[in-house]
Amino acid sequence: MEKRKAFLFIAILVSLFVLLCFNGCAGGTGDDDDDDDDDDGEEGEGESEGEGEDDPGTIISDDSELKADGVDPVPPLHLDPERPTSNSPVSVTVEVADSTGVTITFEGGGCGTLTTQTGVSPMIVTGTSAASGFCSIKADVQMAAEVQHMEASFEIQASEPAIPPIAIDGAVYQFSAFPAASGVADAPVVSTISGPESFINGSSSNFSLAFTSSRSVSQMLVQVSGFDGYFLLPVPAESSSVDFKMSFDDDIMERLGGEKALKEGGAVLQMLVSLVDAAGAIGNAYNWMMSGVEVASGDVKASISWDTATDVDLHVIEPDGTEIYYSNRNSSSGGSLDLDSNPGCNIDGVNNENIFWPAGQSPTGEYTVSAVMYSDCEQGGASGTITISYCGPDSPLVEAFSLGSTGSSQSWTINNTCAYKVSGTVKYEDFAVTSAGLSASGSMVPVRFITVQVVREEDEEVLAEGFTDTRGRYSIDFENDGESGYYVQVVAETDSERLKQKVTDLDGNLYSWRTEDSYDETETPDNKDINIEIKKDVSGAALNIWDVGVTTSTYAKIYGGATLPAIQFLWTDGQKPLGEDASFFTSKNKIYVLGDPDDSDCYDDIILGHEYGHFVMSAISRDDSPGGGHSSNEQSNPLLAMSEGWATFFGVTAFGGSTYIDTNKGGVGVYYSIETLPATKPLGNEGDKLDGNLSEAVAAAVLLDLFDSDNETKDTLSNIGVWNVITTYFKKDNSKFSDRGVAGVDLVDFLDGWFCLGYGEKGEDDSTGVRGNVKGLHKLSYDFTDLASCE
Amino acid sequence: MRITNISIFAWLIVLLLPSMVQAKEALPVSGAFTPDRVTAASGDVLEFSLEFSSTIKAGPWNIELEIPDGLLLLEGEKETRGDSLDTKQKYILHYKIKVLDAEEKWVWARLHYGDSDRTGITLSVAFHAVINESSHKDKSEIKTDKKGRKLRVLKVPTEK
Repeated sequence: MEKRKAFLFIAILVSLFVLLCFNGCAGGTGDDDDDDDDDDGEEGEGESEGEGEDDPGTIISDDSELKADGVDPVPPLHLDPERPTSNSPVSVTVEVADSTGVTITFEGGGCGTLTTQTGVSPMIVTGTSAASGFCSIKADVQMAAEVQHMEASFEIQASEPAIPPIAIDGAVYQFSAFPAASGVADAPVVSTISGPESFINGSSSNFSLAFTSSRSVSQMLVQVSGFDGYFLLPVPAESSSVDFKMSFDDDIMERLGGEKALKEGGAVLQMLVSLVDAAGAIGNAYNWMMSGVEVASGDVKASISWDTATDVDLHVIEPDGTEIYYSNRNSSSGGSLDLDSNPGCNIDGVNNENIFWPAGQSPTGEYTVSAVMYSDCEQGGASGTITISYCGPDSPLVEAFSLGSTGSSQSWTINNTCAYKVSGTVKYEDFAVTSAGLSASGSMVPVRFITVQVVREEDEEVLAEGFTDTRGRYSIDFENDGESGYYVQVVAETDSERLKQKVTDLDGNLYSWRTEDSYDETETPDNKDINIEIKKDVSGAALNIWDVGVTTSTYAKIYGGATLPAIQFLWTDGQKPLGEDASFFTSKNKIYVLGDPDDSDCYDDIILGHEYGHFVMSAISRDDSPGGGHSSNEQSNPLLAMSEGWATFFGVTAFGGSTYIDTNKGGVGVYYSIETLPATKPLGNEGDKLDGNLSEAVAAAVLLDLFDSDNETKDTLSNIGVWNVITTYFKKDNSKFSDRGVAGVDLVDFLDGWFCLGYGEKGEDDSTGVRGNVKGLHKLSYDFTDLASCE
Repeated sequence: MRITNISIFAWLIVLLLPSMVQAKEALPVSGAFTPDRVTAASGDVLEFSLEFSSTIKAGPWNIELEIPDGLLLLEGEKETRGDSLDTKQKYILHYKIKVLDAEEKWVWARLHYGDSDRTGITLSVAFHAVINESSHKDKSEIKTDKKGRKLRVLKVPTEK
């Protein structure tokens, strides 16, 4: 008993010691200076009484010391409307007395037609917002002795995202402006793109892009005219060509201009294609055009496309043995060949064929689909793609084929046997982030890549499962050998190659939403337009967290290269996770999201992205931060500054911006651009020492200016090598890692890695290259010591 | 003895947790909005205090009080303004509010302040106080699916 008491006493002493240590040290500043101690004392709500006894400060209460003047009624930079919507008029006004000049700049995919202008106050820039995306607005106001910087921003969300009606396998869609060519002489340039020159709705085609480049190509960028943003396709290192597959949506003709476009000669896909090399140089864009030919769709639809001026024919043998092809175009069951290209070597250049059965008419059973080289027209052969849509678990079947000379063929078999189908969209209510806080009204946007289940009502057996696509659409075939009746359920968990994540409440229960109604498949075998709209009042915010996971995981995969382990987001509306006043990431690959009524982070994309950045660093790199509370307004432990700086860099760039925004119930709690750091962020290292403390905002700004293509004075670099330093140089087992600065990974090590890996561009003085960024812009004490090469 | 060891270990983990996590940046202004008691009957007068402090010097500020129907502000201003926020000051505002009906009430205080860099951005922080809080009826249902996963299921209407 005495022994037990003694143990308890020691344990309590240890606990108290740990508690005191974290209250004093958890700010990440370790044994730092007095200023940090002051700040720590003022941060915590619970601790303020105790701290107040040591440093009570001046107490001001509600009496004569509070004056009746205050916040300017209209800020000097303001938007009208404050929260613009899709494709709507926006005006930006800057009005500052005694100024001599004003320059307003716009950055981001959401800015639409708003363009940079220079003039005098009051200055008004008008334009039309884009369909979706972020827009950052910056104003430089010239005063007598200084330049004042002002900022604002808005985000636009659209219920029908401005994604083009095509998909490129392995590519992600970036909602930001198509990057301009770098102007570098040896940047990569597209020579040709081989493949069919026409497309049909609901099909796929393969292409091969040839290029000239003095360095390895790292990315292909494709912008479709008429749509904001662009596709980004990572290219494996040392590739000599870029081979890619493009799919054309069922409704592509409608979305490219509808009947009007078809009557005027057909829908056209007008594209710009650029290449990015390993150093981040972007070559001149290549103009690429394809023309559309509309074909019919139905229950079963088989299409082929190919690349050469040859006569390839599509044949389909339906379950009763009837063969549909160029000389037997229609079957009694309703099957029909409605597009025959290059017949008898009369080359029309369409290079696509299509056979379909109208809705409700396709026979059940086995189909054999063949691509046959009727005549190679002296071209030698053809390569192409076959797309077969049908009722079955593997639909659509998309496969590449290669045919030799005349008479060669290739066949596929599918089983059109499922009995029932349900399809529709899943959307959630999102709230846009602006410099004035979250938008008051939400808009319904697609839920991407989430699990959708068909569940039998009788016993809650899952009959079939599928996923939504980038536009939130799902289509699930199923059979039911039990009692008829089912509902559709959305579950916030996937464990696929594309995405491994789940969103739960703080108790670990997976968020899921089921249709209030149930359906009888025997009455409606093909149940279309079961559209599920998940609003805020049914925990719809969990799906914004989900969506941020989709965006950030894709971004990390493109630049980081590695597939990330599974991540769990935990959030409960109205609750603080584990009693903390913040969202945070833990080493168990969990991101806890703040649900405090005063300050919920569930719609704060940048904050969620910031925490995901910690996950990325932890999963594929190395993070030595001591963690705990912190502020970008102070100089922190270099390990914490590197970790938080990286996370902020990741969070803002994942969404194509440069501004950190944390909203709350009152408006915006923290707002700053890491592109144009405000004066509240201390530059340099504390004590001008190599290992001195620094602001996390400065660390983030150094990374951004090395990475981004938005270069300004003293920022002359745009190099995706930033990621390579994080993923290779910082790796725990890297024998070339030279631990300078403080022990552990900090910004000194990052810059060492930059040069060690050969990214160079040190700069002649403090106005260009890395020197311009590190010393000229951010006043850091990095010593530019020559280290051994990692190469 | 074993139980004691486990509980101490758990306690230590709880203490260690805040330092191991990577949290978001702290807001420059923090504080609390508290009533003198959290339950009240119709006709009672409650005293609320709003206390806050800032880690940065900031520009002009104002506080807006949002009082729901069923409560009546007796003392204190619905809107209070100041010229600047100082890091060495603690601000305390007092309000007297009469309860007209004894339902659950949320009172919001929103503080807005110009950032010290004069970038045109207004920063904000919100505080709330709740009286007569009722246990909320959650619309969700916790179920276990056939894979053994715990689901928090919410029903949603569909558009056809």
